[in-house]
Amino acid sequence: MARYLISRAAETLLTLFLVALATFLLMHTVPGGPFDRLVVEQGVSPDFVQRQTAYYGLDDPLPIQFARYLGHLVQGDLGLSFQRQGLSVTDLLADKFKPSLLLGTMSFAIVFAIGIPVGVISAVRRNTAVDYASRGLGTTLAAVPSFVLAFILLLVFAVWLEWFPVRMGKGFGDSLASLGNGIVPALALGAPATALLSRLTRSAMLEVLDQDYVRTARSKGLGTGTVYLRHALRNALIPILTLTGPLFAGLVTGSIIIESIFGLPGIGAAYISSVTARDYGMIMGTTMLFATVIVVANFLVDLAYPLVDPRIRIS
Amino acid sequence: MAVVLRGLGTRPERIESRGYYAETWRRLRAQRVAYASLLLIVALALVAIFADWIIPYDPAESRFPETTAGATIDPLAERDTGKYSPPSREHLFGTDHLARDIFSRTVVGLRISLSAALFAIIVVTLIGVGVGMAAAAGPRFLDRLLMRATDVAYAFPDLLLIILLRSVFGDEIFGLNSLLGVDANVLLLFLAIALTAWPTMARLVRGQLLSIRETEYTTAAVALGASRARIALRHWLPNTTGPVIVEATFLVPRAIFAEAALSFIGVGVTPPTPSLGLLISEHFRFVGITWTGLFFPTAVLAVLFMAFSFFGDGLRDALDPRTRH
Repeated sequence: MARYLISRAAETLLTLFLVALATFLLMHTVPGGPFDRLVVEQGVSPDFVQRQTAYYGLDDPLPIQFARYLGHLVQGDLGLSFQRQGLSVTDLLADKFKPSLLLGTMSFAIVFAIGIPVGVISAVRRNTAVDYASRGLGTTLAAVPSFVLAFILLLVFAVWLEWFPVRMGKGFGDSLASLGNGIVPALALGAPATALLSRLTRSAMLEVLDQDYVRTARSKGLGTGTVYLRHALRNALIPILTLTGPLFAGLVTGSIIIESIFGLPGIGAAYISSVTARDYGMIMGTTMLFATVIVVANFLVDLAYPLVDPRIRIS
Repeated sequence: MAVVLRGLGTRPERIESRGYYAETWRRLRAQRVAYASLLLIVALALVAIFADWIIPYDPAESRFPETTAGATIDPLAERDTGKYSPPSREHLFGTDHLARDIFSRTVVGLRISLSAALFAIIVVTLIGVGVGMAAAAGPRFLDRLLMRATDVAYAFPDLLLIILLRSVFGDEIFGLNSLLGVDANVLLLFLAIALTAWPTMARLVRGQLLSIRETEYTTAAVALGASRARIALRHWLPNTTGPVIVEATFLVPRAIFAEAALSFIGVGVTPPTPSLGLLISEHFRFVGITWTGLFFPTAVLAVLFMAFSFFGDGLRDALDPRTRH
């Protein structure tokens, strides 16, 4: 177990190192540096650009720059932002990532709160109107791009019903009350995942319901609720567990589009503008943050697997 | 292949045996939804191929109404500007904010999105099958190396990688603005999408091959003295084609969706190329004035997505002989 943990942790670190290397190389392949736009926008002299470049050590050979970055990274220092000078990437990321993380978490909760019950009901009442309706709705939700769905929800909830302000993402995450405004964006973000989860739950439940132990549970006179929830659902959820890691990571890191529609102050817009501005610090910081979320989420799921399914041993 | 059985006292009887692909085709046709989806895909592909003959107007041309020379124009009177017109016989889907024919733009958008998605799945299949095969059939160090690369590509946040690659690639391929009739910036966008999608394919192929390597028919082929190349080509490749085709089918709608989403946030296709995604994002701003420009491209996108998903589902069932009906 300890050996497995150490080797997995080493693999994870190696993966993150390679992601950092790839991002660093890609980033420096793009022509232009972080100070070049100042010449056009603010009319500064090329001499100033040269001094700034030297000051930040951007005229050093790339391997040296990369080694320096890694040296700071292992100390938890993500460096300075070039676009918003004087601010550290860590502070900026903490500020921008909070709304995205909150939104992703809310969406994750909604996906499970809707997807699992719908899938169970669909399986239990298979080939009835309820089943067809939920599967049809699921297919439709998955077939409409998330931004179109977001827009429809915006029209319905903000324009017609007037339950929420049109820019419902404004100030999201600043206070507890502002979280309520995130429900619609979270719903839009999680719609395709909800459809997928209910479909997977349905097929997993159907498989389990055919098993002998379910028949045994029924024949010994257990109530329908106990059979479905305690015997069937708990086993059906095992294959679904593998999905939770990538799903959570996907929701937390994939909200760029939803954020832009609802005017949410998240990390998406910040990343796009940092690429345009060649803000090396922010590009590296965001990519490393997202990659860490993805890698760690998958790692945790692998660790949790033997806990729910004793047949699986970590080796 | 027809086999003639002869037995004492019985009349010769012919038993038809069909090949793997003929059998797959038969089972695919038996699934109505999947077969209907295939027909729909073929129809849409034909529309895309013959787009030039189908579109009534140049998709980039503004169709302002003609004004008679010398006529006095009352600046306050309501006049037909040719913009935002509702669907009519002349303009099936109406016109947009620049009085361009939305039907023509949607058809061209369909062609751009479909051909670019085709390009993306070719790239994904080449990389994915190549990496997967090399990892499963090659020496151990190669396997470790390639799987590490796959992990890295998998851990890379997709959208971030696409946005980065977009800025690395620029807008031109070898200084060409267009290649094979599709704008270079569209192809490069789909290339970036493909470069985030191949790890799934590589893992799939490797997993398939690892399990096939342990099968009895591989052992039998080895025992009969078949060469490595023969085993790989005659036994392994045909047994991975099914899952690869299915995965590729599901990639088409995903690539088209990714394009639409990226164009929507302004890091995708460069205007004025009318890809489906760009059409949708372009018309978001005018939704209060006209709904057709948003509705029709979205509907085409949704139909494409459903058709490919249903076809992929049906194909997966049809290709797997274990789920015989």
